[in-house]
Amino acid sequence: MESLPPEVLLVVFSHLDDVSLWSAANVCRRWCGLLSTHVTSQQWQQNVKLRWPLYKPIGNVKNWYKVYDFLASSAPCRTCLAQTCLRSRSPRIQENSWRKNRLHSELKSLRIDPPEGIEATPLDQMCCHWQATITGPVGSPYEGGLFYLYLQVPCSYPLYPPVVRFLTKILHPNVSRHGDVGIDSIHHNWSLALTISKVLISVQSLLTDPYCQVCMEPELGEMYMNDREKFDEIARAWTWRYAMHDVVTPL
Amino acid sequence: MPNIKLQSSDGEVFEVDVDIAKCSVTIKTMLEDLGMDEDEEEVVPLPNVNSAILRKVIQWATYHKDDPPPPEDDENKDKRTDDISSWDADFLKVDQGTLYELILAANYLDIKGLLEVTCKTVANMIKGKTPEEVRKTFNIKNDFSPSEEEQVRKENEWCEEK
Repeated sequence: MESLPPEVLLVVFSHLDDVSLWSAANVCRRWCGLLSTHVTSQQWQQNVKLRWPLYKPIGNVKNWYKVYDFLASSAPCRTCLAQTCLRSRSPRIQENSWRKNRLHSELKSLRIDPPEGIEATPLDQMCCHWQATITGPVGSPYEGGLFYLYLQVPCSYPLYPPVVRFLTKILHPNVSRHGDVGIDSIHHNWSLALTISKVLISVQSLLTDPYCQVCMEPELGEMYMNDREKFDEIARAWTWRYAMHDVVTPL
Repeated sequence: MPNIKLQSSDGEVFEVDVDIAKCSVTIKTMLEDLGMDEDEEEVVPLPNVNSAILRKVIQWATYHKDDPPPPEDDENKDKRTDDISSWDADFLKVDQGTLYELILAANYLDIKGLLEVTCKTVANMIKGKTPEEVRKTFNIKNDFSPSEEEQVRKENEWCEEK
């Protein structure tokens, strides 16, 4: 591999998608240097836009690779991250008008009157894939953080609930290390009255009040019950490290 | 069809149809520059390609001799790598060393189609892998300093911090 000249490596890299390209940049100095001189900041900006459509920089971003790197390294699972961008592939599913009308009105109310600290946008035409953000509730160890989520809305929605997954690492008893959310209203008590925005609101309130009887990560539940101080400290450290995209301004 | 003689780095001479040899832009230019007459008994030396690789390259070029010319580079070149034909996939079932030598030969001989398909094959070996998995696949040494490496440790800290 080391015998390959840069122009050839660049041909190889030109066939990679953004997530693989980001991986390649972290392989060794040579690849990193090569990619940083040949993949422009604008290209990374495009990639950020595609993967995190809800990302809004506060300042002027000089190096979009850093933004991409920050967001991508704060995601719990690389494979799930790679799956979040299926806009180019439009799945030809048979959509029933119920789902369609329902999502249409949900989208409308999300636009007109979004719940406090919540944003959501579909990623594809059929609204099968969504991205959402939740701000960490005031007073919780997640305060100040912005958490990205990925939602999969099945064809059978609203008869069946959406799948909800964190795209930002978070330390929480009801969120698995893979990012999956364990929440009663989705898994067992799904009701037709629930909407995407209501699901997101209950995830948000779960951040304030973990439900420790049933946990995705039992050890964290135990820590939360028995050593709240330690739990809060670590959870806050994680928030700082992974969810403060705006405060820790990338260079 | 007139033939042309190509000599590999280790001295083996291959007789190839001129049209097939000309899929290499390097050979084509060489022939034009030298004004080589096609019926002349001249041998084109290829000091960068050994006989094993040259044989493979000729095999590839012979199979693909009637392919339409590859499209010009454009900005929005798609990133598909799943469009490798089954013949090419079979042809490229070789060890990594041979694959790199083929890439180098395609690059030196300037055979766009072969360079594309070999590079796509390498790209497929990178896709969907973590940096560590990529290093393992290609036997690349991790030469980042510990502070640069923080990134990697971050990924494993769940168990440590708990």
